[in-house]
Amino acid sequence: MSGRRHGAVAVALLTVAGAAAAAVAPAHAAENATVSVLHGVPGATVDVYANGKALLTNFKPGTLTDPVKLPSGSYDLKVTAAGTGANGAAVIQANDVEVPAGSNVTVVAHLGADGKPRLTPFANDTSKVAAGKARLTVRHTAAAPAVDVRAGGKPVFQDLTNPKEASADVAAGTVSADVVLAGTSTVAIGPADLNLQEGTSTIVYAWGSAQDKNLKLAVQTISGLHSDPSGIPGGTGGQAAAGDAPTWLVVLLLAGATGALSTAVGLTVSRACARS
Amino acid sequence: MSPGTRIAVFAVLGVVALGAAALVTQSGETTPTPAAGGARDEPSASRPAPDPTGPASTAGPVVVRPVELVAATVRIRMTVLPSGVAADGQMALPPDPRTIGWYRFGPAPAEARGSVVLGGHLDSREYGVGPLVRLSQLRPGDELAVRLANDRTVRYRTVRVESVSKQSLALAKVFDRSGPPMLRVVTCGGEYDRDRGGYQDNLVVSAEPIR
Repeated sequence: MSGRRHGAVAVALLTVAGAAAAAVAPAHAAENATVSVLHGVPGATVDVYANGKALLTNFKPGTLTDPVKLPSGSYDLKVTAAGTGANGAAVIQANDVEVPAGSNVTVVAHLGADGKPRLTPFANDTSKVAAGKARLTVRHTAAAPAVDVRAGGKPVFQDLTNPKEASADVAAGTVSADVVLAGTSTVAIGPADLNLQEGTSTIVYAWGSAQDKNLKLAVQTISGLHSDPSGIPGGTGGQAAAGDAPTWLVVLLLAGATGALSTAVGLTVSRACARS
Repeated sequence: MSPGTRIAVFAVLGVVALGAAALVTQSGETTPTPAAGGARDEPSASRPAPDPTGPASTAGPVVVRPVELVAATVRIRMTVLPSGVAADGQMALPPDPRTIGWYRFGPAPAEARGSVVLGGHLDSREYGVGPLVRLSQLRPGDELAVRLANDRTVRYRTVRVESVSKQSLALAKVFDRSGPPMLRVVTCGGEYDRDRGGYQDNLVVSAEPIR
């Protein structure tokens, strides 16, 4: 349905990922997990290998893959410079990365606080959000010090450090968000308008390097987490139930025609209308 | 266009990320596919960072909200107002029973899937009785018309008029976002028991689009 919106690059990545999924399955895989990959290391186009097989090729910085179904289990992940092959030197390596059955995970290749590339798997919370709410999660995956995240100028998440995350369910709607150095009003990224759609999880990644002045945001959304309202009220007066005869209703409905009659009717039903 | 897609598109529209956000939408609702071993998830899209100098070029279909409900056979003509969720978790309704609320987090009339929910007060202490008092007179086959903000009108045919106790209202059905397109017009009915929270029932009119 949304295939039209895929960029050519994304489609190519997915094709590779889909084909590779079967090949990289661990020996004792049972249930599937949902895995997305974010490339948050500035300046390097890479290939990603899982258990020795190519999972992503020509993966460019700032790209987040579509979610891919992978068998759950343990994965050895290796990131190499693009085109160097399965035996190429590892830019980043992470062995025994657990991908639990039924989980929804985003694996992020990013810079640590020390500026060195690393891989961090984040578990995505796909539990339902209450009606009218949206989930906002911020992940610090940048070579930068501790930060506060503000919405409308007010801190929402404070003292967030690499590679930690903070999350909250908030009222759906658009917020103007920015990232500041912790405890200050020195803006590191933003402000950016985030449309937090009802029933949707919006995950914001801060990535890049403060020192190299290339801090950026990447945004991932997971929809379909909505809940229904708990009910529908429908009347606060009780007037409509104050009489049973349809003729009575007709009289009542016609009451709007004349103010005097309306007042009279209002008086006659006033006891029935009172709310506790 | 499904609600999921609409949500995704809106997320894209909303996130006019400062010069440099990579933007992706995904769906938490997954569909099993026959592909062996690994299968791509449902609706989603990946994008590289947008051109920081360009305008927000990710515009997609815009949701056209309903503005008026007409049920000619029972002399109902009401302004429709967008409504959300009240502090108690119930659908928020416009206080004036001469107007009706549209659950703005759910589908809009022009969408291909799910229930468009219109809910209104039967009456109010402040404003008196509203037109929805006649809703129960609708019969299967009666036509309902919903006029949209773009002046287009979507017509529906009543299939059911049912009074159900509030406790047993099938919320998942009324607020369904993925099934066949339906219109649900909901108000109150049954006994008014002020010691038990007012009206005891919901009156639910279900109607399907006329094609």
